[in-house]
Amino acid sequence: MQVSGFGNVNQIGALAQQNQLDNLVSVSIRGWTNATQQDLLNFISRKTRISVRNSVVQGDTIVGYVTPQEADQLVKFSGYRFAGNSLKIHKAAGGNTNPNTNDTITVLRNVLLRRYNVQTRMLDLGNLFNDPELVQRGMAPKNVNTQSKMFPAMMKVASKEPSMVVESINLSDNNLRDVNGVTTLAQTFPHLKNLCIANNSISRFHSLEVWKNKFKELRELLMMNNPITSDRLYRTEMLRIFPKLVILDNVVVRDEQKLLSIYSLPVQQTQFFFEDNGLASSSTDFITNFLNLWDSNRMQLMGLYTPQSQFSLSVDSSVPAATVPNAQTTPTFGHYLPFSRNISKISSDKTIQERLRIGPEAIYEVFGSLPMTKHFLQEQPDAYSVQAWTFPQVQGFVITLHGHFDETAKPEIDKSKTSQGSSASRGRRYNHGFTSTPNIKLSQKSFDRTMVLVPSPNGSVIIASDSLTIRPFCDSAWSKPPSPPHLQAQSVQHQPQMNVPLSQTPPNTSSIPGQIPGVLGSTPLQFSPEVQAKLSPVQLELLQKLHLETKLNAEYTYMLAEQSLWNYDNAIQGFRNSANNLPREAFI
Amino acid sequence: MSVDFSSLAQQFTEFYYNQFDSDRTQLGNLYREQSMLTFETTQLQGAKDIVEKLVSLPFQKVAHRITTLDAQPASPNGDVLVMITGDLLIDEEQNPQRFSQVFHLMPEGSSYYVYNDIFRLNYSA
Repeated sequence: MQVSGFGNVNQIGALAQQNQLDNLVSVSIRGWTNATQQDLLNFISRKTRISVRNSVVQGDTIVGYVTPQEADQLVKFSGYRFAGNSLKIHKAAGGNTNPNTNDTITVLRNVLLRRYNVQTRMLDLGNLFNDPELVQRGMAPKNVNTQSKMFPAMMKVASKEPSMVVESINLSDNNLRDVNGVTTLAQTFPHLKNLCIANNSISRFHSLEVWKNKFKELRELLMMNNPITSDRLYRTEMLRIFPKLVILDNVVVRDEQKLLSIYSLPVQQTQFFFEDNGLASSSTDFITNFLNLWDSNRMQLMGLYTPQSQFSLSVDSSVPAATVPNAQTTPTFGHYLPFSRNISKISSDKTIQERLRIGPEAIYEVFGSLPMTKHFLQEQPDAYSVQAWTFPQVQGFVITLHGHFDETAKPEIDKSKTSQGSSASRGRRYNHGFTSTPNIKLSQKSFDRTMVLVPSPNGSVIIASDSLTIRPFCDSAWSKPPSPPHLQAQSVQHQPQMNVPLSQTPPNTSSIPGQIPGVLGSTPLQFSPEVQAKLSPVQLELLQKLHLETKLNAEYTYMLAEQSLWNYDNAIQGFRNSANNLPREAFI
Repeated sequence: MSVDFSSLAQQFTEFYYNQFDSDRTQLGNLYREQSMLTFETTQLQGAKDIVEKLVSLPFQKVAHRITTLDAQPASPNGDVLVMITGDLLIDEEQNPQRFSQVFHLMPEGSSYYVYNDIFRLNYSA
């Protein structure tokens, strides 16, 4: 079985020692590109008896290593004709002749590039702290395990080197007792697949803990010749620290197929799901308006709730697993807990019944008692996820929304005042075991919300049922695929009026049974799959709206949207200004 | 008439996830021909297709651990919406995945069936 991305560890160590003995300096050679790297090296060797070691190609330059004496000799060779060109040979900056040059970055870069193999995508940092160039420059710390700035600096240089695509790293023979000195490796190479830290002195699991869940794609780890490997818990602990580790010291420790299927579960994630196209536009409209008002003036939302409308809130206070990116690990829920109706935690039937709020007044008691918020639907549309499906029995539809918000200020309703009133005050009723909210820290939260929307007699909608789950903040409701087309969502300038989206009812659709007027009625614009793939749901929605408003065909709608930088108001203004000059075929 | 929808929700979720975790091939009884499953990118209709999808999921051992459960009547007709968040523990992996699921339960005689089932991962590892 082909398990390793590494060469022979011992051989690498020997090579590094050789370099050290030789006390090499680097030279750069240009003007060779009419021939191959090997041709050049042979040519130089023939003409000068100098063999350039460990050479790498960097664009039109070959960088290699020779002794300082050889370097002086080679520089004189500069200008020599080779393969129809004249060679240009320089000692690399930071070479021996100029000991005062403090070009640390150049040295680190040289060391990195010399130790990087583009074919195997391996960065060989074995015996790094004895690297002749680093030693010569006084940059190799005597004791690797003390605070060293060299390695973090080198990682910083590496992160700015786009030509280096690193899958494997060798850190063997560095006399490491822990990884503190090299911990930044995880920040620079989070996608590392193979790591070798063999032939070091690591003896405690604790010293690897800083890397827990940092290398999320690490598949293979070599740790031979470290005291830690003889520990009884060695295998288990490595599996815990490196969640996707498959091969440990040349032994298969996880079933890779199974691992892959688990982490690809259930299937690819999707940001939006709409039962049909019509629902997409009306539900995103609705949510945008709803959240705008939720952030600015919750009282204005109360028109959406009838005396039969219900609302309840649940708090999921469990702390996210360590693998979850940027998760909030010390969440506080003081403002929410007094209202939490989590049936799996609360056993009192009376409490469960009381915490289902019915009618606008009772619902607003809760809305007003929750912290003021800011959602980021416009700024970060990717961080939100929406599903919507029809509910024909009540001619309505159901929306689920997932995302996050910032708590920006304390709640509108000051509970401590409310509960100071008479014992019969309404505040008491929901303030079980709850006196005041002196210093509850405001923070980010994530949430899930499910709403049942039904048509109201005036053509707008009513929220029949509304259920909100608040949970600790985690990165985003929806994780992006590797390289999605990124498009700005500045387009939709919604006015905070709830009646807007669903009251634009095309009269001809209301007769279709089981449909909400305006929701399913529009004929969607058709774009070619390539264009469609480039458009974000918000852009598609904008196009549909423009199309409905202007009756322009797909091509012209798209041009209008693009010219107005995906801003609806600008687009409509632009359309009005130029409508008379548009050709007939611009319209449907 | 007042349906005790919160105990209904509790009984239902307990039954559903126990059945799912022990033998998910038997979940068909809970769905009908008009039932819908929305599972991330896919949507399926009918008990047979839904169960086929659930059975085809790429794991053998799974355990659902509920962290929140909430329920509301969905309409005056006695149907109930059940909202759940929880952890999904797959095979022997230690790091759970978080999920949220909404069930729309419809009354049928003296019991209920799943009219709509919307599953999604809140985030993955």
